[in-house]
Amino acid sequence: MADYIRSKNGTVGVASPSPSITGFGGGGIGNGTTPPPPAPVANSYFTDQKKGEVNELKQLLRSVAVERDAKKRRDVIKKVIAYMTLGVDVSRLFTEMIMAIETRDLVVKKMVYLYLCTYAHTNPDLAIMCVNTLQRDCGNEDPMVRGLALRSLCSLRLPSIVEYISEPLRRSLTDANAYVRKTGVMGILKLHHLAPAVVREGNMVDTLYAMLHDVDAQVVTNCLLALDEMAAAQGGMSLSRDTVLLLLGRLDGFSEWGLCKVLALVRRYAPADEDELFSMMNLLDPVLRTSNSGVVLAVIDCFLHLTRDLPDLQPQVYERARAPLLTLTAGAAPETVHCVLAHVLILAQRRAGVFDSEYRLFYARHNDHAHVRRAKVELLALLAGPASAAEVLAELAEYAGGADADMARRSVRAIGEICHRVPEGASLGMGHLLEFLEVDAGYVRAEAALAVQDLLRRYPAWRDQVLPSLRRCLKRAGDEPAGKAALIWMVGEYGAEIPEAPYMLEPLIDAYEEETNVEVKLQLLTAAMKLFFARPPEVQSMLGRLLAAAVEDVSSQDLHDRALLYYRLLRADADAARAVICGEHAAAAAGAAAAPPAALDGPFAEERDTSLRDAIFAEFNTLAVAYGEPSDAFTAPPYRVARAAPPPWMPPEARLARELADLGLAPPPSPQPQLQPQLHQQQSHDSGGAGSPGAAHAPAAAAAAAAAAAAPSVDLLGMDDGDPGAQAANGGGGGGEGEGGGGVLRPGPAMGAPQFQALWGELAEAAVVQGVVLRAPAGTGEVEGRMSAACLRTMASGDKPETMRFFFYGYGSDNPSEVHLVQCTLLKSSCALDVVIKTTAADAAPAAHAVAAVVKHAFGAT
Amino acid sequence: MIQSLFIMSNAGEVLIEKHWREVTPRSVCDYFWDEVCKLEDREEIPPIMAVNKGFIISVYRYDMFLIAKVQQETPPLLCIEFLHRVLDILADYLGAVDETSIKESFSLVYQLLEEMMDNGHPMTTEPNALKAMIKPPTVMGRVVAAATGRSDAISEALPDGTISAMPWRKAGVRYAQNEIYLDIIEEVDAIVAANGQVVSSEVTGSIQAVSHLSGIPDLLLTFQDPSLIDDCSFHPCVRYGRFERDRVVSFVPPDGAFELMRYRVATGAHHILPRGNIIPPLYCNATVSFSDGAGGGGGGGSGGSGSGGGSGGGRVHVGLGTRAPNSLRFPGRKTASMLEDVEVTVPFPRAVRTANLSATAGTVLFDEAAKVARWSVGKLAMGSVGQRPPQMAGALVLQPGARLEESPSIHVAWKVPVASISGLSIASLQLTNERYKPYKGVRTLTKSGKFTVRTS
Repeated sequence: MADYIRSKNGTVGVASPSPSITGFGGGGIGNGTTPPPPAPVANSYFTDQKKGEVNELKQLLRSVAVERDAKKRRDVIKKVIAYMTLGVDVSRLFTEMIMAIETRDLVVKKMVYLYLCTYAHTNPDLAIMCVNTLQRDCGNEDPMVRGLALRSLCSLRLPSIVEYISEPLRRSLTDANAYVRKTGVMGILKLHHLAPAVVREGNMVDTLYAMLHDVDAQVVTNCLLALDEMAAAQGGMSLSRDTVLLLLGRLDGFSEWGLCKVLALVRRYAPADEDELFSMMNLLDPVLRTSNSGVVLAVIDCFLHLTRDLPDLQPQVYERARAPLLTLTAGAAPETVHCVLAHVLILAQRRAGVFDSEYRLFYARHNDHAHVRRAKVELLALLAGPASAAEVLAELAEYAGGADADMARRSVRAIGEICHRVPEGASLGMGHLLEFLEVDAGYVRAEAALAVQDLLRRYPAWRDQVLPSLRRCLKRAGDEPAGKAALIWMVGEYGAEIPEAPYMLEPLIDAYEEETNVEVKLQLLTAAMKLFFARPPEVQSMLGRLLAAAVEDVSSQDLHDRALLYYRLLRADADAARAVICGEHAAAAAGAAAAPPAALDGPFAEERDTSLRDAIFAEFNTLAVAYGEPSDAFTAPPYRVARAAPPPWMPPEARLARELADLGLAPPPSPQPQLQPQLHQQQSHDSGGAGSPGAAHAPAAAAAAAAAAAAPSVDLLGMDDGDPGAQAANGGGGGGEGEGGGGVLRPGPAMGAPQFQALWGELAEAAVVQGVVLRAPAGTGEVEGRMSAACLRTMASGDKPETMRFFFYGYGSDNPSEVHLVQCTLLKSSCALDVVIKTTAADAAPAAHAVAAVVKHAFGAT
Repeated sequence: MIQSLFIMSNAGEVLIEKHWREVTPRSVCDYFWDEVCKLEDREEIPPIMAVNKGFIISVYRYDMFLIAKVQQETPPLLCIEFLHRVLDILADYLGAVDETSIKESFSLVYQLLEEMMDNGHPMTTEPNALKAMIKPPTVMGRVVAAATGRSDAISEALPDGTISAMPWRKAGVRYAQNEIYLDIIEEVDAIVAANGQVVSSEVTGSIQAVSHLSGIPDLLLTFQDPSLIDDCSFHPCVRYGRFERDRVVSFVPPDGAFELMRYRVATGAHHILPRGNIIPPLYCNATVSFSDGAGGGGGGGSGGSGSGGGSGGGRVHVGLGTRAPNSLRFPGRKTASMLEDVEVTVPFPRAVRTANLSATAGTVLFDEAAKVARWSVGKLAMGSVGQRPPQMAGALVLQPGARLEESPSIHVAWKVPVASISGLSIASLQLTNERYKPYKGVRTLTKSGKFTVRTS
């Protein structure tokens, strides 16, 4: 502190303030000497406690300004900051605080800077007053003060003071002290957000590139941070080979945080040849020894990315990544372990076998956090192999008996997964599951039933063990609908082999009115139908009662429709009904009761579906991994920050899906023919009845299909890389047929998802209109059809349980270059419609309202 | 990058807020607190949550939440590491991190945060570099001055130039007595089944150092048998490359206390069980049984437990003893050692209303609110034959109408001085670049980490 007092003369010498600012400062000091205004006693009835305190502080601040008692002043300033911290608005003290900035006490100075940065935006005019002092401090002989003043000056973030910032900033970049330089570099970034033009005109970007050769690693780090962020719109800073080599050459000098940035940049660099790649990896390898988990993950990410096209090298990378990851999970903070495990999980999913031998490290402990335990169970399900399955299954069975219900459920599910994946462990796992069918905890029984249901399809031979206990289980099924539904499915599916099957269903059918769960009722209906074809005489009467009850049931449209469908099928043609209901097993069931159902061969649909994993994997070392979903799935579109273009190696379909998902919606149905993998039982409880749900939804499905044909799913793929010019020409040709848009809209060219997304982000909301829809549409297809009649093309649509969402776009009828973008959100429960219109039309508001009217009309909304 | 940081007490009160980009309204904290309140156990809060304008990343330590608001995609571990680093630094400066100490020295906290992060990017986080910029609180400064015989030498000015060369070490350090202490600490994480079999075990070691060396000392640490280290990570001061090449740890230490390295112990040595599991130095058999309507009768040496008429009851019995042979190794001379600070924690299910426990050695406390029994056993001599192994037993009273099936897992804490599992020992610690001969101290300690014993 003594140092700083000595520096007083220095401050005076350097100061070169502009006259107007001096005037402000002088005025401020003059104010301080005037007698304080009358204390707020006169109106004390209406002065609340907090306001009183603020006024008191005001008085105190004024008196210490006169008294010049350093200790007292420090206490008062601290008190102000304390109130600020408590959330009390002390912005009224701005004038007094600005006066307090003229101090030699470094702590007070820091506190006042903090105050200024917090409240400057509420008092931009007054904030100008402190610029003088800050500028002077930027020339102080103490580098700490120079840096502090500069940082505060830039952190005020006031457009009005830009002109005062640039000069000290420029000077700071050549400062002898690294602390000032690094602060200055960061200051440029702040200035860029405030006034990009100033940074551009000052050629500051070139200066920063030159400063990448600075002797201080922190300065280099800040240059990288600043350059990369300023160029975010162009996908980040430009990286030459020299730059990358320069950075890699001095890796040792960077702090752990600097390393993270360097690694993120190096990841983007494409090495010229394999030699360069290997030398890069060799340079990066020792960094895996860092104790900072962020750095280790960044290195692994780099490695994975560098070797993505070298399948020979990939196994080595995984092997290399294993030990550091395991070290990170040992003894680290629970939050860190959680994230690291999430990454271990995706690595293990990508390449089986890497972590298999370490499975014991992932046994859960009771004092692990819940999310850590969950991740561990998921990992165990993945890591169990032929040799370790028995041990892992025993461990999981231990968790299933634990007090944590969620954990128990997941463990049972994991056991089921292992049985599917590792045939060697299946019989052991099945043994555990059969035990679970008998335990006291209802949720364990339910999960076990679900697992057994799936397993029977793969290992039909296990029927003998399972079927005898079904009756007991069904009696105890209780209030776990999913488990109950699974049991009922088994009764229906294997009813031919269970002598008492009809009498297991009968009590349930008699208690139909008491059953509240639709899923159970649907399952009961299907099971009774299947059983009817296996054992007609016994089932006929109960099926009749059930169908009658279900047709009358108004609780669910689905149920009603399915019962009606079954009824009509049976009336029309019993054989056809058998073919529909019993599907491929029909012949077997009719022929010989003992004929075993065909065992499932090949994987379930989920096991094949790797697109989600791929999407997450592409986001290695991001929040997405910790979340277990691609970032698009959990980021609301309006808050999405613009992101660099997806990496070029991503297949175009994935890019499209990602961009559409950016809009928070499902991508349009893919036009490519899909393979037809067998569905997982939980998804479709109708194993054979492929036709039944489809029939129930036939109108909607037909509409959807029609819409899909008319709407842009095909175009989207085709136009993804088309240039706007071509699209405009295309639109010109098709323009003649436009009608039905209420005179407001006309058909135009199809728009690519990226284009839509960019436009949506760029435009402001021109109109927000609410309405009420008379009748909620049956599906998105219906709406899309109506919109296309109104010349609005569908960009994307989504149907969630509570809401439907759409994005449309259309072109102005008068001026085809006008593009209108529409977002509709329909709340199904209340039929409330929310329409947001964005438009490129010059006269935005009227145009938008006209479009809104068209949209509402098409929706049939009022 | 981190937009804003909040420090929140365990009562949901925001103690400190600091914004680096733009001001984040405190409503984010309200949302966070609502989520915390939904949980039975507040430390179970997911570390990453999506909020409507970005994400919040939080850590829970010292009974306190640190919440970072992030607006863009950010490497999650970077944020988590940073938040923990903030807490490390606060602990270093304030001694104890708690609500009072933070409220008392909030201006210090602001100063630290200001230097640790700029514009949302982590900057200076090395304690030595920070201390060169920001004075530790005066009370502690005085203590330090008294203890080390130095005057209040920490200046408020930056030591020019040195900060960039070695950010973790401050310049111009002088000690009358030059000394460095190394603690090799190995932690045993294990799960032991009810029958005494070790289900899984993992040993992680760390070398904790305290350095009081003048000037710029360059140290070279060599191990007797580096192959015992399976994988390791180092403090930034260590030259990673040297370890890759020569299996030696070459470093210029920071001043004061720091963690030099952390390693995993290679299992598979001769004294280790076939399946790669270690043999712990103690056994613990525990049984917890529940019965309906028994009314907590039974003897068990505890009277007055007959209050639970009608409601279910149960019995708990825990026995402890040392186990030999075990996986512990004593480098150098072999000493019959003691297990110290042995403590058994039994978390009972919520359905237990109360417990009446007594022990043949040490003290037992039952926390009625948390339903946790803590049995502090104290010391346990290893290998002594005549000693009667300590036991704890007692009756449980259940909540009326409650039934129980699952048996709790109990947690056992212990430590053994001088011993290690790996047998890792330091061959030499050489100092170059300085002329003095420092005093070097090395200690070894093995202790339990997450040591879980399942009950039957």
